[in-house]
Amino acid sequence: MNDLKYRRILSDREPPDLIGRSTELDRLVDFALNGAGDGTLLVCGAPGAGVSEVLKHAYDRLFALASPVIPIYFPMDLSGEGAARSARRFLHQFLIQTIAFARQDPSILKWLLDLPELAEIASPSDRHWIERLVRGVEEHGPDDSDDALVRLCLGAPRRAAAAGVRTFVMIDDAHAAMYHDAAEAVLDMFRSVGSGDGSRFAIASRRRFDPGVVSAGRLEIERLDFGQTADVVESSAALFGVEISDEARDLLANQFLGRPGFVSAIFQSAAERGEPLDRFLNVERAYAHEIFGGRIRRSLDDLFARIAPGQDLQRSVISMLDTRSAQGSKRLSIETWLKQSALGQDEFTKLIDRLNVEEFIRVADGRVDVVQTEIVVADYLAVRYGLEVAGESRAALFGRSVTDYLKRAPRIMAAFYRTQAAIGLRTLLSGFSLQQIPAAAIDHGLFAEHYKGLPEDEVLTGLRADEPDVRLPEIVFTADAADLYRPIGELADRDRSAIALGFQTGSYTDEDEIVWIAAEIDSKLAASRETAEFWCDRLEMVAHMCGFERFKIWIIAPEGFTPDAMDLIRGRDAFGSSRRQIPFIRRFLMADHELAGPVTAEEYEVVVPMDDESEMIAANTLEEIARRHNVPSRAINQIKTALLEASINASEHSLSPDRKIRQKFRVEDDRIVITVSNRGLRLADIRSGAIAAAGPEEPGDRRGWGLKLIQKLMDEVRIDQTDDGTSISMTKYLRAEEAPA
Amino acid sequence: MNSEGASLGTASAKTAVVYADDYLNKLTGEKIERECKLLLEEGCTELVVDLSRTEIVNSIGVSILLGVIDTASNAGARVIFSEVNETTVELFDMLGVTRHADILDRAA
Repeated sequence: MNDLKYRRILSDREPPDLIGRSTELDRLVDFALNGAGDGTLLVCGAPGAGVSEVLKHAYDRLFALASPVIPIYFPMDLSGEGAARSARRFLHQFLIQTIAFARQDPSILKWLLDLPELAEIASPSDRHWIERLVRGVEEHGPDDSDDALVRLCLGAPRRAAAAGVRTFVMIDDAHAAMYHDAAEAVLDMFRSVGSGDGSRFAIASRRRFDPGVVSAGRLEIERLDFGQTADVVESSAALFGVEISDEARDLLANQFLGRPGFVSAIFQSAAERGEPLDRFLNVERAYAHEIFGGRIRRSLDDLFARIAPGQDLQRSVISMLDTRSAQGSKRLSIETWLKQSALGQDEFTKLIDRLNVEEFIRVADGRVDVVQTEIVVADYLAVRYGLEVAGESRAALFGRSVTDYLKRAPRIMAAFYRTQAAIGLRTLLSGFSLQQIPAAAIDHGLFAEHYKGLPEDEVLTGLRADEPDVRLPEIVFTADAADLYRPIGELADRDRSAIALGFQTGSYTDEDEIVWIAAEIDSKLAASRETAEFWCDRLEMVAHMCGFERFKIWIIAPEGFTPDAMDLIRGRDAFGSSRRQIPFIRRFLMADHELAGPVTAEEYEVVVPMDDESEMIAANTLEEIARRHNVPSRAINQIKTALLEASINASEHSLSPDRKIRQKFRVEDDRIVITVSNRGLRLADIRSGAIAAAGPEEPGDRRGWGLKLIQKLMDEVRIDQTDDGTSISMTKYLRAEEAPA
Repeated sequence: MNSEGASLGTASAKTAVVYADDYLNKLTGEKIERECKLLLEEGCTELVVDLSRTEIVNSIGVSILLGVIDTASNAGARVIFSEVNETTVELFDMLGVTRHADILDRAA
């Protein structure tokens, strides 16, 4: 919700009804007012995400601020106007918005004034540069080149800047350049004009379109999530005075997920017909009207006409895109598309580019995947296919569609409830970063044996005391399993199976690569051996089909697994967990300092140079800290020795560029944790031989004892490879029976 | 660092004492090594390395001491580490020093 107060001028919705965009709006306004240096801000979003509305709100807010920066909003033309006409339109908008801002009178924006009239009403301080611009345009003869006119008009921000007038120009719909050569020429001119002293630009487009400008930053306008879309539904209902129920709101938010424009459209239509949207039947009937002939239909028709001009081509494209009519996979080769489209190579390339930018398809590895995630788009394509390709009767298809939508509604809601209840496997796996966790945290058999029936705090205490003997990989990429192997999507919902690629020990080598394949499965009771075997087989098939050589399977069942099933899972070198274990795993995934545990941790940091004996400065500091915390004297000496050894390791082998050792000491009630980090060659690479050590190792050398010593002196040792160095974490538990120093 | 002749051990043994610094690392270890070599060249048959002032020893220091033990052994001499604190005894034990030299800890 946007709480700032300003008047609505260009925006479609009142400021408080701009939902979920306050951060993006702040960033846009901040760039306009405070952006430093040259470069243009790119504003990108998915089709229908509401990029234009954010820009318009930025305009309204900047207008209200009355700062020295004048906001200018200019949407590029998607319908094919010529470059000269576009340029004139830009100049007209630039001048009228400048004058309206100077007078702080937004009503001027609606005045029907030509360029000379605008020059007349300009303030005396601006009149000289405006008059020169207008005179230049008016003197432009019919035989003069369009290029000169376009350059003159689009150069207006520079002219204004030269006169001391600062502007922030927001060019919307830059992807128009993909559809028309004239728009491409205009965008090209904007590229060459660009941001400069006194004039600042933002260029907005579809997120898959590359405007080809030097960018000072990129602002992503993400699709609204379910909660935000539900807020848009409620605010639209209030705006248009349409009655809704909670159930209908949730259904609408699911069907129009992340599409605020479509939400407005259905409410506007419902208001015009005077019908409530309070029941699923009302919703789906109104929805069918929109898909068959309402605002949503017209909006998608316009889009399709731009993408594929000509009815024959549209029919061909609809046949290839419609997933409902498909008798199998909608993943076809580019050659098949080329053949079916009956286009020349150039036109076909444009078609594929447009479909990709508008997110109807995704092109990868020479194949075209139809994007099937948006319900509205799929319904639109199915209706057009039925009417235009299959030749169905409109009345019959309408009736069948309403009943189909109605029958589908409970399924949409059920899928929604399941998604809401899902663990969030991709997020969970993304958190894997070489943490070490106790086996009982992830192995249901061990968990059931030791912790079943215990309250949460006792389980957590127990798990923290367990040996952390399972080392998680460092995950670098996750995907829904169905995105990599589509058939698995028929067995598991998208959010309930995931593939995670990473490195087992964090040393980025071929041998270290590992893939985790995880699935959340259904089972009312502890899952049986047969169920476990079924899923192990399927997930191994995913690994096989995707060519993963080293992989780990992880299955999560609501109530865990029977002992038989656990035997099978372990025999397949897999993990089987219950839902109850997941929050505990999450706790272990948190960074050390975030982990709630024996509390009252105190932290100290020391950075010392890699010089002779400087490690003793850190060791003495550590001793002082340990004494303050009543650490037993024997433990202090052991910790000091371990610290010295870790520091020596860092100094001797790392070829560190900054020659610094960073040491962090954390004292908790029951332990002291020391972390020694440095930049340079990574210890694991040196040990594995992937990189030659900094110094020669001689045969029979009595060196290289440091790590072994550390492991003997401390209770836990963890070596983490950072991007450019090594971090050794050492933990010493402070046992009560030992005397303090 | 300094050393002194002393009448320790058996009557026939020529014994010298070498005093180690508070931190026995590469630098101070090499000083001991040099001192011991000189004493061995002078005919010492028993080297006592006094660690009474030594608070802490690192693994490089230990590796140098092991080299001193080897050199002494080759010269027919023995090495004794005296006044060794508890942590250093533990360290010597872990790294095998106790198998090749006599250790007299501070309690002894």
